[in-house]
Amino acid sequence: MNIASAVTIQTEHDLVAQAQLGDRAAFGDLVQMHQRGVINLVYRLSGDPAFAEDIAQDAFIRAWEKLDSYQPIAPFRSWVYRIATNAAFDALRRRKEQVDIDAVVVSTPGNGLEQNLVHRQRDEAIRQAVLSLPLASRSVLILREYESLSYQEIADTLEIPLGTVMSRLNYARTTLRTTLAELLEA
Amino acid sequence: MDKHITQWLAAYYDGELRGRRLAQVEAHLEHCPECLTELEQLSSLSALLAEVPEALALTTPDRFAAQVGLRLSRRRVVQNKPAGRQSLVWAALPISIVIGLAFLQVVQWLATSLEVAQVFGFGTAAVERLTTSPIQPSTALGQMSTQFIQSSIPFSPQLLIGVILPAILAIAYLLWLVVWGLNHQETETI
Repeated sequence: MNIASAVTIQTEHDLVAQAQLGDRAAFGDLVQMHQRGVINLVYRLSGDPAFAEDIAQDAFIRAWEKLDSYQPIAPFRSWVYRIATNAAFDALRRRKEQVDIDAVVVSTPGNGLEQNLVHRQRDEAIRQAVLSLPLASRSVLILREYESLSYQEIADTLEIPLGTVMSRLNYARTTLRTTLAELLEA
Repeated sequence: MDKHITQWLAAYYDGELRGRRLAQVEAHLEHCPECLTELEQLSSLSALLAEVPEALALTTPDRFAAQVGLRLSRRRVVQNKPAGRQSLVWAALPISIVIGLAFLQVVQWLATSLEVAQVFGFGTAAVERLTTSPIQPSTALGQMSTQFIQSSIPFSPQLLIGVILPAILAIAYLLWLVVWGLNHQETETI
């Protein structure tokens, strides 16, 4: 771990301690530190950026209310991601309707209209493939591939055994290699 | 180890292996093209997944944090209670005070009862022995101790037992109640 990371972790510990004493400004700093990660996590789980922001807000509200229960044994990020994942799971199960991928706004580097369209179709195919995974495997894959969490951090976040993390990740990757075979060969 | 190390490839790719297992997998990859191909496919999949961009920010980070801030409920901060042995001592203090007060009351009652018995002439001989015969120290040291105690107490024993000591214990108990109340009081909502 480099010095910058150590300083960041110490700063985060201080902010959490202050927030646990009721310091809203300190909690606001924690929100700013983790909001992108939480929003992207929920976005990749759902495919809907507006939904992602709503659920992310709900997750931070829940985190504030449960802050007394946080113990600095696991990283704060893992704890917040757990709350966000549970909130997303609950909301997605309530929604049940299919996410309209065409309605999702995608930001791609513009390099001509045709090339942009190809990129967009490619991105949509990949996103659709991920969204087609079962929620349990999808969450493990997203936490590993997009949030770079370790296996242990994923296990702590999702409250599942380490072996389950490995088996779900293996299933997700094997399924995606089949689904995205054409894109992989290209 | 198996002929191929496919079961460890994902963990190796994700940087989860350590020590002997890591060395074994690396040694195997040096001469196994099939496993090496499998590893490359894992890498290709990760690269493909990484192409999908992050969510487009519908709300600026400052605005998002402000919206969260507006929705935060008023939290109560509960003071920590003293734990373990400290808590036991803290709980035993008022009990000790109450026992002390009760003891003083018993002593006072006994003294009063003996005086009443003396007035009415009950068991005169026994009462006289108890009330008029203080314990005679058998040693010079004991005599000196008795004289020292009697000269150092400015009050009569009746005043000490009946008023002063109970007052001290009562004040101590009140102070304990105040401190206990402050420790267990929840702060104002934040």
